[in-house]
Amino acid sequence: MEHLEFDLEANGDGSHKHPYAVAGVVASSDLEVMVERVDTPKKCKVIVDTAAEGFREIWKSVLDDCNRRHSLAGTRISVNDYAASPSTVSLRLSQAIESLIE
Amino acid sequence: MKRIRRRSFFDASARRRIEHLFDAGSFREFLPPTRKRVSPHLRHFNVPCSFDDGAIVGEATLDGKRVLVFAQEGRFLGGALGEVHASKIVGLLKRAAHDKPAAVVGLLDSGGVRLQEANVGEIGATEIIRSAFDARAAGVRVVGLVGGVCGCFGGMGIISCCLDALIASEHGRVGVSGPEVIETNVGVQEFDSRDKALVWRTTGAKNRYLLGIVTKLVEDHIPDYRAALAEYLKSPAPSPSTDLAPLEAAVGVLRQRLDSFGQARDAREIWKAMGIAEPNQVPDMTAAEVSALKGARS
Repeated sequence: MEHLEFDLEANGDGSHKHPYAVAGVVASSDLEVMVERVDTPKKCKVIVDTAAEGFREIWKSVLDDCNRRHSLAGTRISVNDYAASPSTVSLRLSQAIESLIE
Repeated sequence: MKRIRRRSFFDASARRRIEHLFDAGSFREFLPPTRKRVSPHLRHFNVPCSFDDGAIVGEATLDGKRVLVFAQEGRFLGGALGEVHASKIVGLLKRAAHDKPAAVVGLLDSGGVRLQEANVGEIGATEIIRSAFDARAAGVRVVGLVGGVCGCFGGMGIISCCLDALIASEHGRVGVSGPEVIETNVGVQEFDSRDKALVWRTTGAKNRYLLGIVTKLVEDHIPDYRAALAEYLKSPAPSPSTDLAPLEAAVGVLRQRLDSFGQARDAREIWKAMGIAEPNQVPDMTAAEVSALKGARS
């Protein structure tokens, strides 16, 4: 297991409808993403616990991509990962963030 | 099967099942994932945790009636009973005995006790049994819904038989020892776990329904589960008895089942012995057709 943390400079006014949202399940090749509404203007903290060790750079790339596509300011993202592929990670991040907004 | 848009119970996550089973937006979660009450044991085995430990508990309404709900996530470690997972279910059942909702609805999806937390998991299973009986003795119905990826095996299989009613789709396999466990311990001549048709005929909900273990058989469609649950909650609440006579009657039913079907090598032989005209057709029948078979016999 590896524990990773990222502090992203993020856009958006932090006005999300729900206090939290969850997407995905901690199943093999899948992951659980929880996004919470928090009082951190212009920032987004990401906490990752992953079974696949040694992929910090790839996590950073996927999270930067997500940050470009979504308004992450005022959120905290917590991840339990069971060795999901980057595309699955990207999908679950989008699903969780969209559930927080809608 | 002419259903155009199927909302599968089998394919849905535990959270999605809750969302579509109860009145829209009525679910309120106790100990939500934001509390991060994860397993204290899994990290010692290098296994990832889940924020809800695979058990979601809370309250919701069904046609306006307040119910308490627990749902097991079968895709997280096989829905297995760990310490936190089991404690959440026990707490919910204790609360039910105290504040008397219309029912406790359990969405069961578990292979049994979690290997990494075996001792506390076993204790958790027994505590669930005791608290389910306490809730029932307090007049609260406890209903299980089965039809997920793991079915209901091991300790959870035993728990499923301690409830007032079970609603299941064909996917809802129920048992104690799973097919691989039986084959490993007693040999392939007893049960060939690789013969999936045999496994589903034997442990699947059609056979369990015809044997009287599953109360109501439905299609794998969440609105069908909802309708069956709503219908069941309209019936008068049973009053469980701890007298000796009903216990002896229940043991008599088990003895009769063994006498009648103990020599059967396959579920089809059981169905034939029951007097079903075309036992080979049962696996292809709809839930309604299988239900009609039982109606015709009784």
